[in-house]
Amino acid sequence: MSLIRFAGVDFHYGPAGPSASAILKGFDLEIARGEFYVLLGPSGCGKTTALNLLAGFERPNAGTLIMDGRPIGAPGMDRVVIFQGDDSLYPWLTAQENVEFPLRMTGISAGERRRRAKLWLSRVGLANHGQKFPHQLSGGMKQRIQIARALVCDAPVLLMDEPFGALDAQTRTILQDELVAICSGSGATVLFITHDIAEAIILADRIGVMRAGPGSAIKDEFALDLPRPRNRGSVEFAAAYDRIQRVLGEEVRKVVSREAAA
Amino acid sequence: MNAAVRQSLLRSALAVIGFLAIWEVAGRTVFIPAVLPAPSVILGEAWSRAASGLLGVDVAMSASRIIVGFLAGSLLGAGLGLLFGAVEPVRRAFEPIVQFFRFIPPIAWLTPVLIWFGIGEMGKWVLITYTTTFMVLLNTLAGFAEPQRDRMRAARVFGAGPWRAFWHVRLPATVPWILAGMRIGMGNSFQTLIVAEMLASNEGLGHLILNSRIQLSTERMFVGILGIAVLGIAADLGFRALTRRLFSRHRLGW
Repeated sequence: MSLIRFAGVDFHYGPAGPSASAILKGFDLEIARGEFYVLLGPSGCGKTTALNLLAGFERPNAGTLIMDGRPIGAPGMDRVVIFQGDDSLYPWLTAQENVEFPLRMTGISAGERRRRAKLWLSRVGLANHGQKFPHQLSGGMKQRIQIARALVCDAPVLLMDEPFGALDAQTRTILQDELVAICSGSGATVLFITHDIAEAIILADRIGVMRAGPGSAIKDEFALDLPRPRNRGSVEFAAAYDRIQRVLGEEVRKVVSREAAA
Repeated sequence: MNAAVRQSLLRSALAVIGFLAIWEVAGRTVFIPAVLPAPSVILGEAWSRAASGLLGVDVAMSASRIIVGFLAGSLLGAGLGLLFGAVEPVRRAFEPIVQFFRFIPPIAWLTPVLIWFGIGEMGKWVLITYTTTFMVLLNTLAGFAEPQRDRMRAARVFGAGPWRAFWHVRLPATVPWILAGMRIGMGNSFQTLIVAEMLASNEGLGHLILNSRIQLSTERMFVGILGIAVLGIAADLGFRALTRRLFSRHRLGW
């Protein structure tokens, strides 16, 4: 029994009609409880739209979107989001206060708030940076604040929209490994968006590759049962990379040739 | 203080001294004092006027008018700006009125204000309040035009309803805009103040300037003119120091 289910979901911006350009068309996806699902696809294909629908930021124009047996409603703490870039952090709050924010909104006492935020800050390696403001921290550290802010909620579902996309390759690798360590055994269900195949293989239980838009949906799925932590240099890793690259590459080439023609 | 700051301070000091020196020489050689008094003459006049207590009265009157009007205008402008920003239909309803009045300079209101409030303090307070309100209101609305999409989305994800999202995200994000509007409004308030004091007042720096012309005392006129500059710089420095301290969490850029 899957925890999250998209069935025949359509989404387009603006009013319906023949001129409406569909982002998603007949989008189907099922994610099992505790599964780490990575959505891969060429840029602009609608990966973030799928995540926004699940978060409740956007509403589907057609189809059903169900989590835990209930239709998706307004955004909430049962499915927390780690945003792309750092525009979701509050620059007037310290790292510690940013992590405390969800607890403050739920009315948890100041002492308990501080204790839990401190715990998560140290788990993401920011124990000594709690009193700093976001602008005093590096890009990687800011994404760590976001991870701590999301995980402090103990949410059953984590939605991550290319959280490491803007980081340099070394920092990205480190954060990927840390995320594997944090998530394994947490029981959380994760939807993770990226266009980086290696990142997908390091993290995923299952990978869905989306078609180039418009009217995108999942083209192919890959289950990965390699043990964790996964070795980026292993033969299995290379084989998985090759299989996925063949499917994704075809979609990326469509986008590139369309852009060249335009 | 690092070397670069010290050097730029030194350069500014040299420029000021050079400017005053040229003015002094010009005032003593080229012009007669009735046309352009030398700085030393103006300083002497300021000193004797301060000693007699007359300058203090003018400065205190001007400063009190600025403070009252500035505070009232800031409160009104920020309050209306936050209301308009938070409630879209209210903003749409009132936007035409704001745009209409925005182009009427405060001084155009001087005559009706005199009819309504007379020559007393209330008229000046109203004019300066009017001046400040529009600057703060328009700047607050400009702050709301910043999308803050992800911050608002995060607030919803992490359990904030509309009211708390406004209080904990929108308001703090708009604070630097409100304060910048207040700073601009303070600058504009001085223009309104001086014209109002010239045309409809018996004390204040504006009155001092106009009255000195009637009395053919150019050096006293310059005491009034330079007094405005000193008062303005003091007000701005005070405002910057106070807001830096009160809003240390926000990067204000001053």
